[in-house]
Amino acid sequence: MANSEFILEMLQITKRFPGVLALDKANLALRPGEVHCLLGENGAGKSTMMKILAGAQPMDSGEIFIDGEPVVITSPHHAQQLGISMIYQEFNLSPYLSVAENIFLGREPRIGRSPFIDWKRMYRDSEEILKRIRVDLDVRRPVNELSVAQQQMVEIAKALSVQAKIIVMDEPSATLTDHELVALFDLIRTLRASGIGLIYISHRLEEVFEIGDQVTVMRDGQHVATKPASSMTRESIIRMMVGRELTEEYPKEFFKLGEERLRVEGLSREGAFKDVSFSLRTGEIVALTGLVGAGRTEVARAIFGADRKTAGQVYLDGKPAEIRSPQDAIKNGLGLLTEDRKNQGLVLGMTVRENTTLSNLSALVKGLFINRKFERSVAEKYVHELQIKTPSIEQVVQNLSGGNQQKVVLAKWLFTQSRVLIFDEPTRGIDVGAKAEIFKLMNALVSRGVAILMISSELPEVLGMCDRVLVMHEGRLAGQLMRNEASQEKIMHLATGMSSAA
Amino acid sequence: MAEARTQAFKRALIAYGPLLAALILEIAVFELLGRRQDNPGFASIPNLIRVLGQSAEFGVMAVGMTFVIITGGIDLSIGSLMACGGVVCAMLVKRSGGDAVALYIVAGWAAALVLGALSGSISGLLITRFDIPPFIATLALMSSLRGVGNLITDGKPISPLPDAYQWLGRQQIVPHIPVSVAVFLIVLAGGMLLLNHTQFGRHVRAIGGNEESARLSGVNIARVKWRVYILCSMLTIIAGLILSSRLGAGSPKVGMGDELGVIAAVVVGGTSLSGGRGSIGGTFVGLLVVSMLNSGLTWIGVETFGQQVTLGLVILAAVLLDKLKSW
Amino acid sequence: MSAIRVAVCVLCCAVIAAGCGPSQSPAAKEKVIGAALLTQTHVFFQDMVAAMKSEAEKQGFKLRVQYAEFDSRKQIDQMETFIAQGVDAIIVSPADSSGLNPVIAEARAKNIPVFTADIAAHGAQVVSHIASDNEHGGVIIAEYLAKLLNGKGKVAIIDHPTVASAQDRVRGFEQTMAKFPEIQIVGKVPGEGQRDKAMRAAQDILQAHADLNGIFGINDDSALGALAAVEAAGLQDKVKIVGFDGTPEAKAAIAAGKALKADAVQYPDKIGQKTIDVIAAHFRGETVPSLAPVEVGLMDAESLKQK
Repeated sequence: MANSEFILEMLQITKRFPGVLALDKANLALRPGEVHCLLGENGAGKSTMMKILAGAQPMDSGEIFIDGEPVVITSPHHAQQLGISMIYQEFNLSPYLSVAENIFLGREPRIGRSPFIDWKRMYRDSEEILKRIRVDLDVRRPVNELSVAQQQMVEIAKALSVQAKIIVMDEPSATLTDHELVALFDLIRTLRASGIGLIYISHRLEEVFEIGDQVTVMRDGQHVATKPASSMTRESIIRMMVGRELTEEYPKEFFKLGEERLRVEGLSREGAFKDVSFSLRTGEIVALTGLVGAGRTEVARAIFGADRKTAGQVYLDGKPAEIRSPQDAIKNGLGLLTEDRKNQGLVLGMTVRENTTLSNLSALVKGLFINRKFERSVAEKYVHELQIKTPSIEQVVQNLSGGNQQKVVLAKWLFTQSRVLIFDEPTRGIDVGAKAEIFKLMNALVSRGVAILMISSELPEVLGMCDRVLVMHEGRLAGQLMRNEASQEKIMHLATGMSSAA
Repeated sequence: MAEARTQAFKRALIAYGPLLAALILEIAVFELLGRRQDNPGFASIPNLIRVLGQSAEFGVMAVGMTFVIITGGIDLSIGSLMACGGVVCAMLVKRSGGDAVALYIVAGWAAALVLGALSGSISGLLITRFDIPPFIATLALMSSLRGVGNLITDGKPISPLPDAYQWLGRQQIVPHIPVSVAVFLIVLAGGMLLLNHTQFGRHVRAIGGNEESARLSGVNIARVKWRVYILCSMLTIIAGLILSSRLGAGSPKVGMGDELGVIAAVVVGGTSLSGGRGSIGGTFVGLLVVSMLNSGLTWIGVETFGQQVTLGLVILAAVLLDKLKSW
Repeated sequence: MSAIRVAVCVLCCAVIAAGCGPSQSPAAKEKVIGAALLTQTHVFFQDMVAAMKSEAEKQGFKLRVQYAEFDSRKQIDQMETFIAQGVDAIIVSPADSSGLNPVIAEARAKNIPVFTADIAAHGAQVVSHIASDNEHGGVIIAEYLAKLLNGKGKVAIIDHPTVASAQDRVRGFEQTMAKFPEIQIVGKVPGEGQRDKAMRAAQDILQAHADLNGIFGINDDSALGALAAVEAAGLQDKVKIVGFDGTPEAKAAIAAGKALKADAVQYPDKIGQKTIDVIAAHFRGETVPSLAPVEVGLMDAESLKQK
């Protein structure tokens, strides 16, 4: 039987998605009046665990106890009734409603049994809740006028108004300023003192030591360890988070380094990243890594002209290149394989042939018209070369698997004769077999003189495939590691902003 | 090769088959009901060509509208622009005073087409540079252009005009085939080539399918959209010139509500209002279904109110059919 | 599968359509007349069509009626359909007085006689135009208004300049008013013969001329629109309105002693009947006059009481 020392226990939770074991007998136990930090790499299973707790996803097997009583959480509404409140990174607030309306959304107090809202009571109760957490806010203001931090306070007040006993905060600090963070921590301490159990998810390890009581580390869907925060060091946490041996899923080949292909100097985009400088030579694969939100994708988009840069210069083959739009980038021999293939890489309703040639149609135009025969031969060539598994080149790409879709995107950039390719999370949503194929294709490209910048959160693939690793932290380049000096620990040090190695 | 062609044929059959069947059924039903009323000949070739002639204006506009809708946009200004086009040309021709009429007519066409290009540029500018939703931008233009047409004519039709003015709308180049039908068929063929066999057409479809992907693939979104609205406006002007020629007058009142009729024909033809999917062939068949229906109901003597109800039902049936197809 | 669905849908529509259509049994050599009229939504045309239909039945003609609903493109499509069907005569009430010349010429080329009813077609050669004597109506209503105003004051016209009958009415009205030196016509604003637009037009003119004494609406929708504007402005005792057509609504307003004082009344049923009569005469080979005027009357509170 469960021990009622805990307000919440999740035992042996298992969840399988098609092709992935997201949670493998994971455990989590939370005491009342405790801040429990849940840590792990992207994809370690933290968010799946929390979705199960919130009733947003069913588990395949396992047990959940609340106050020692076994429960089966059937829906988000049910979770709320059980006293579980989630505060996501993206707030669930209705922007044009007032603070009070948001706090009581769906549970508005009414005058007697009439359909009319008892505004007086709603405002009074809202003020009371805010007073309890020592937040000074006009409850009549619409929430879109509030700062992010204030909106977060409203979310917390909303959680309290439903008598939450367990509050989960997913990356609450990601968008706060230092000053706001202090206020948040004060609030968390107030909540802790009132006996509420908090689960705190964050990538910033320093916060763990400041606010955390207990730490649970997860990896690959499994529970690694649960220890008091005071008994741990940053190094020990990182080791637990990454601690896996590199296998030979990465068919890395080495080539002679050639000329500098791409150089970026002082690249900045306000609100996204600042002063990023690096270079890329033929024959090498350079990784750009860092935590989610560190600004990697934004750097790639700015180089490619998809977003405007606010400062800095891009050089190609040593010459300054004016890139203001993707067209300019393509003219300069750049190609971008976006992270979100479906929404940014492919036109899903078009065929393999049409997607392959989309970026370089002018090469197929004879006179006024597209030379269809030529176009078909181009598409056939890449389907064969990249071994795209498709019934025909007239297949609509929507119907292809993730790996084959990625190959179609690659075909598109090969047809534009790209000399610099930026791969943003090239293996996301792709199964293991196809991953290795994509890596082999990268090798083949590098051997032909293409320079590759690979953005990835998957440290094993970064270490497995890259010659150099650039690490970003909060919009800045935190450091650079050569292949022989790089390790997951060192990368995580840089990515969490702990030190500047290199 | 041959296999690819059979495949293409099969796809076309799946795409247009139901509509074509509906079209043939319509013709058969009107022929039979007409006969019962001692009124044969609906299915005769000259009569069908006549219906085609009546569809010329709508058809020319529908080709342009298909491009606009495939990019995910809409153009509500065409009804008003159409009236302006006819009025501008008629005003110029009226000045000829009977001398060198042909010259004045050609000049009138040119002036009207310039107006069309201008109007299309304005919608394009509003939509691409100022990021105004196409619905709003062209709604504003719809009102303003109607006003312009009324202002320059003082709300009165421009007439009488020399007989030569009717060349575009009524002159038969081959027996039974008026110039307007020829123009319509040329626009149709041109539209098909443009959409299916040029870089521009491919870009139009890519933008409608996924604007962000198209942008990141190096498609110049603003330029393509701009051209699409100019194309639609210029075709609208051609339609306006045909209509004005058929009327033998330039009237600022014509074309009210025609934008909706044209959109209906395009949608019946299987073009998706959310963009990306659509074809000129589909629009052609969709248009024929609608105009054959209108003409046929008149043929068998159904009065206006009954026609309105029936047209609504047919539009609904066509769109429901499209839903069933995607299941 | 889906083709069957379409077939069913279209068949349903066709059956509905067939149900709507007239289903007389064909008689031998029955003369067919196609009528392309302005609109089905005006009481005036409803009365006219009703009379046409009953007269046609009496004379043994088959009448097919279509309505343009103010769309000249639709109207010529309908006329072309009649021509293609080879009807024996066409009646048209033009949606646009000057946009029908080519199609009327086409009918003449096919030896189909064309008649205009109520509204004339400018510059087109028709066999006969059957209409109220609109100009005369304008004259009598102007005389009535002048008398009401004791021969002096400011008067406005709610106009519909693209329609020939309205032009005739306004001409008669203006010529008559010219005989009264102390009456000034201060404005002619377009109301398009529609009530909402007429009301807005009347509001504008009341704004511009606070001392207005009289308004002439070229049809009853114009007059009733003006009435609404006058009442909204609280000027019902100051401004006297006269209209044209004598619809039931206008009749009620006049009888109730509102600011609408009198109407020139057309007799749409007489127009309808006369149109068929003229066509019948033409069929018999008689020469028909190119203009067949139908009398116009005057209706005011007095004359309504007597009835």
